[in-house]
Amino acid sequence: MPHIDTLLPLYPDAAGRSAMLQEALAQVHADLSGMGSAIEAGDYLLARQLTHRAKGTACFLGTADMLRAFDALTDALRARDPVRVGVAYAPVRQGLLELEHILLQRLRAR
Amino acid sequence: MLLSGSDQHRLRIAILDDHPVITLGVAAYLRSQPDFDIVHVETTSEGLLQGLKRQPCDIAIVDFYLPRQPWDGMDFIRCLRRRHPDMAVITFSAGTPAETEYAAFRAGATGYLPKSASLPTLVEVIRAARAHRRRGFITYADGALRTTPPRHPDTRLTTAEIEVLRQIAQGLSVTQVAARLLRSKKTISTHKRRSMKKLGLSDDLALALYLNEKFAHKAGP
Repeated sequence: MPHIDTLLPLYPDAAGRSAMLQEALAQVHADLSGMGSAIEAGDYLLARQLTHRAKGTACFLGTADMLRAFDALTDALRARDPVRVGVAYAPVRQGLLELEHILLQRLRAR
Repeated sequence: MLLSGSDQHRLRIAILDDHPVITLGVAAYLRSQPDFDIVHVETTSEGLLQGLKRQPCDIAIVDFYLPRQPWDGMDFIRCLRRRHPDMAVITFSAGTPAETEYAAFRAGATGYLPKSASLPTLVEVIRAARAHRRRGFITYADGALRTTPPRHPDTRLTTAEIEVLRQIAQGLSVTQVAARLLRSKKTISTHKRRSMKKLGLSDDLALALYLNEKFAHKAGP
C-alpha cells in the first residue's frame, strides 16, 4: 500500500486532503521535470541532487519498491556515463509517472 | 527539557525536511498522536534554528541531506547538539546509507530512520528516542528497532575524513566541500590527502574507485 494511503485518513476535511494531494502531485511533477532537464543538460551533479530529492518523495508517498531503481540511477550519474544514465532513468521516470497516476486517482476519488 | 517517562509531559517536536510534502505529511501523522505537540515544521535548516531559538523542543526530526542549503549533514547535527543539548535529534533520510547512519551517530544524533520506513515506525523511533536518549543510537533494520551503534565504515579514517570523502563522493570539488563544511580549502585538502595516505591510494583515480566502492548505494545523492 502506498504511504499516501496512511496519510490521507488524517485529513478529515476534503479541503485538507485535496491540498495535501495537490502539494504531493506538484512535488512529484517538479521532481520528474527537474531530473529530466538536468539529465538532458548533462548536469549530473544537479541530477544527483534531484534524484535524491525525488527518491525521498517517492519513498515517502509511494512504496519502497523503487529504491533499487533510484540507487541504480544514482550510480550511473556518479559514473557520468550517459548510456547508463539513460537506461537507469527509464524505470525511475516510469515509477514516478505511476506515483503521479496514483495521486491523481486519490484526488479524483474524493 | 524532557521529564521522566511516567509524567504527563507532551513531547514537543520539530520537523525539518526540504520536501514540503514530507514535512506536511510527517506533521499530519504526528499530530494524530495524543501526546505529541508539533511545534516547528520547517523546510530550511536556518528556519529550524530560528524556530528552536524562539521555542525549544524535545525532539527534532531532521533530514540529513539538504543539498542547496548552507547547513546540512554532520555540521548541522553538531550545531543542533551544541545549541540544544537536551534535544534528541533523529535523522530521517532517503534510503539506508551505512555511512550516513554512522556519520549521524558520530555527529551526536539520537537515531536514524530511512524515509522508506512507515510512519508508525517513526512514532516508535520517537518514543524510543525519549526512552533511550542517553543510552544508545536508535536505528531501524529488518523490521525492528535497534539501539546498537552503527558500524564504522572504515576504521582507518576519522569522522572528519569520512565526511570529506562523503562530500567528494557526491561530486563536489575540494573548493565546494570547503564552502559547504565552512572549512578552509587547506583543511579539506589535508583531510583528503591524509585519507588517501591511510588508504594507500596514490592518485585521484584510485580515490574515485575507492569512493565508488565504499559510497555507492550508501552515501546519499
